[in-house]
Amino acid sequence: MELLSVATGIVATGTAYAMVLYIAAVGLSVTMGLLGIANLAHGAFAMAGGYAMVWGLDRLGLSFGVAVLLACVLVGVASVVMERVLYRRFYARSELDQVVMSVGLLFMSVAVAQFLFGPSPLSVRLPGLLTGSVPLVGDASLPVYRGFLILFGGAIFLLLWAGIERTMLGARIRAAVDNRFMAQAVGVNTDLLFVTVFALGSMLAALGGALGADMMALTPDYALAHLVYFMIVVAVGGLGSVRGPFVAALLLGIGDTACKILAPQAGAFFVYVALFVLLLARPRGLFGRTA
Amino acid sequence: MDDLVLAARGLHRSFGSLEVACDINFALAAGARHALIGPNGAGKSTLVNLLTGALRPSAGSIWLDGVDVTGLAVHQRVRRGLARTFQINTLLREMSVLEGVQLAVLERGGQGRALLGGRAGQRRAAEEGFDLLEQLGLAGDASAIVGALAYGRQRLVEVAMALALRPRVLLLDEPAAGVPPADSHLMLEVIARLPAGIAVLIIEHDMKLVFRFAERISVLVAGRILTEGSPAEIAADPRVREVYLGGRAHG
Amino acid sequence: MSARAAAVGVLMRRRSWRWVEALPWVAAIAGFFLLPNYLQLGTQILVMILFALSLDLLLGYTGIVTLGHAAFFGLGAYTAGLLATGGWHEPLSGLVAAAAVAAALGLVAGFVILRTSGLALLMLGMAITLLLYEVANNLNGLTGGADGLSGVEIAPLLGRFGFDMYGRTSYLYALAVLFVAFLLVRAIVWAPFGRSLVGIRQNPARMQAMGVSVFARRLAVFVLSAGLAGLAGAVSAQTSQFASLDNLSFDLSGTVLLMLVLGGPGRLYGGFIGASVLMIAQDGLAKENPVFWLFWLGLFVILLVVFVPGGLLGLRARLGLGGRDG
Ligand SMILES: Nc1ncnc2c1ncn2[C@@H]1O[C@H](COP(=O)(O)OP(=O)(O)OP(=O)(O)O)[C@@H](O)[C@H]1O
Ligand SMILES: [Mg+2]
Repeated sequence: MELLSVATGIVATGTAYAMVLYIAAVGLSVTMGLLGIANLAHGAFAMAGGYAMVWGLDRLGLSFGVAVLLACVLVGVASVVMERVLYRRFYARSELDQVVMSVGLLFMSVAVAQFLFGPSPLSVRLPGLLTGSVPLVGDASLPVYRGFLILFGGAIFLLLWAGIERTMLGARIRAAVDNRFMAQAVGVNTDLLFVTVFALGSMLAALGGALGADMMALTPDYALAHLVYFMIVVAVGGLGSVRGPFVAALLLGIGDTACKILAPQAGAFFVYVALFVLLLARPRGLFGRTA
Repeated sequence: MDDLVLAARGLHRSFGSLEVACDINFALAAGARHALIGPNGAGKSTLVNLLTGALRPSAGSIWLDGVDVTGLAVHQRVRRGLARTFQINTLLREMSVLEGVQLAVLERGGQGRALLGGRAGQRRAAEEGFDLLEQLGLAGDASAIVGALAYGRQRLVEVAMALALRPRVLLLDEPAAGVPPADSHLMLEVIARLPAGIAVLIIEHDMKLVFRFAERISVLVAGRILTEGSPAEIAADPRVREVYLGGRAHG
Repeated sequence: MSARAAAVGVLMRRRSWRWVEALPWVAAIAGFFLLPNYLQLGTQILVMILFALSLDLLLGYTGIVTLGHAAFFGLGAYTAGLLATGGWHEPLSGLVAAAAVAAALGLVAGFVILRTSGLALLMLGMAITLLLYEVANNLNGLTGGADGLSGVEIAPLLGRFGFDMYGRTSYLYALAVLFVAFLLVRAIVWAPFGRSLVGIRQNPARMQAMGVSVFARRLAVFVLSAGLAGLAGAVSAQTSQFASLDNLSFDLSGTVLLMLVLGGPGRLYGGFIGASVLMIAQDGLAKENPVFWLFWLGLFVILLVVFVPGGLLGLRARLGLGGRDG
């Protein structure tokens, strides 16, 4: 009984966490896989989404849903500007230049967030509808909000999967990435396409940062602190895929939660060791497109 | 059989549903002058990649000097005397021509692992490299940066890099492709004067070159060897004619 | 002189020393006499130069982009520190031990990391750093956990020169270690092995077609680089008599990368310039507000990569003031 309720708790919490990781990180898989840019500052867009939402809730007194929407729109607009001003210059640059640029952005994001919102973690007021919890097996219960995250994450996954892996837009994006020159020649507006993809990826990050602020605390070093987990989701899941990261996020979310509950001291240690073993066996990740 | 330096038995390979190599049997004797022709996309470069180990066959085996090398990596096959040039220049673009060739000479002698020193070896390798460049008519470009050379010259550097390894088998993947007519005679001369002991397989679309150079010709179509024979036999073969005249003609 | 002798001579002369190469060392010694109040900062700069030099082998010469180099620096720092707290106070053997331990980790980690590329490679580098961070944090009985490892007592160097409170011995010690390591790295990058690393950076497929096992070369340089990073960490722990979790942080990996890129990777001296500029700027700016320092640092490197690719030494070469590419 005891065992069952612990296990249920782990799976439920882990899945909710996985959904947050997925929504926040899948945009990185899309931008990196499709635009070929190593955007380590992806987490900064997630953080911006989280802070924007809290700002909307606390300062503007918006309702939860509207605040989330506002966060996505604000980050989306900001990302278009960033793409035009900065990222665009880096599509054809070396991996090193891309990494250095995005590490610079990461460092800046820490400073800006601390300047605007202070060093301590911000908490999120959840709407009444999403508070409370429902009992599961034995002692285990599931906070309503986490249940909501699981459903929402699943829906986002299905939407992306249907949208990118099976539609014309997706085909166009993939064609443009495989051969920018050819795509231009057949009349695809690659500039517009690339901005759209970048904004889409950043807005997804903002959504993850906003919805996940309850599980992944909003602190100025958010983008640094969670960077490795975002990268794990993408690297293990495979670049340019929306399905791979989903599976990777589930593995990581549940595995990480299990380790931290069962072995609070050395939890993260096991996650990293498992990661090394996995990539030793499959250097291209679980579902990587062969380069 | 004993004088075969390179042999392929029953090679298969596909990319997804596209079969690019299907039951390929093929052999080169010491000192052979062999050409591989076929339309674009026939799988010629793929065959070179299978022979060198850049691609793994899904079935079949590859033999160098009577030893099965199917399981060996690219660099191990090179160390056993198998060198190649690439259809698309694959060079050390930021180095000088001489330095690239010097590196190849050093690696041939296994000196590339020398962590320290190696000055005398580097000097000898550079001297040998220069002599080689001289033979290929590249001496004037020895100190030029590879990436700054005209494309045709870069094609010659490809050949120089391969020859610096003193291979026993040399696979040339369209060495004259993209070389402007004014320079192409240089490449033809270089190919004509390759050391007699080297077994050479050349992929080429230029039929003049092929018929002048090759003693035997294989025709590859859609991943299969359509036929193999002497230049005269190939020239007279109606199927070959059909592939080249009826299909997508080239060159 | 024949054309052959001339061309070969051009190639061979690149190995020889040029007089400008004396400059950093003259400056370092002058600093010792002229700026006695800044020896502690000077020591830290020397340590970071050594660390950046280790990264240059990997990144600048071989083209392996990593954000996990702090793992080896930190491991070296803790190894040297723990040896001292454990009762082994002799500094030079401590250095050797720290470098060996870091190199051993480099061998194991490199074996996995170098099979991957791109994002996975970056991620694994960071993961190995975090893994060590977790270990150091959890073994707080041994390592002091989040408080850091203090009480690192170092015996006098060669039994004669004590590590005094003015930091004179520390400075000269760090300088001497850097000098020896630099001689080693300089010899390596101009030897056939180092030239083959440059070849791998420029085109791995070409090197493979020359009969080079690219994986084995990369692994070899990874081990070397890890050992040198461990050496830098050990000097840091011995001269500051302290090791902490900061030695295993992403910030450190990121900072050393930025230093190298600022100075110019693949040119041996990039770290000298980058570490000096950034550490001196940080000393001035970060005292006021460490967070704003991150802002300016970030902005600065972004502008740098946008407008001055190749770093400051690259700029010098582009302006035609000489300087040669590794
Ligand atoms: N890595 C790969 N993945 C998928 N398909 C490939 C790959 N490499 C080659 N192909 C396909 O395999 C077929 C054979 O290609 P290959 O390059 O061997 O042809 P080729 O005979 O050398 O042609 P060409 O004369 O144009 O050089 C082509 O249709 C090509 O598109
Ligand atoms: Mg081809």
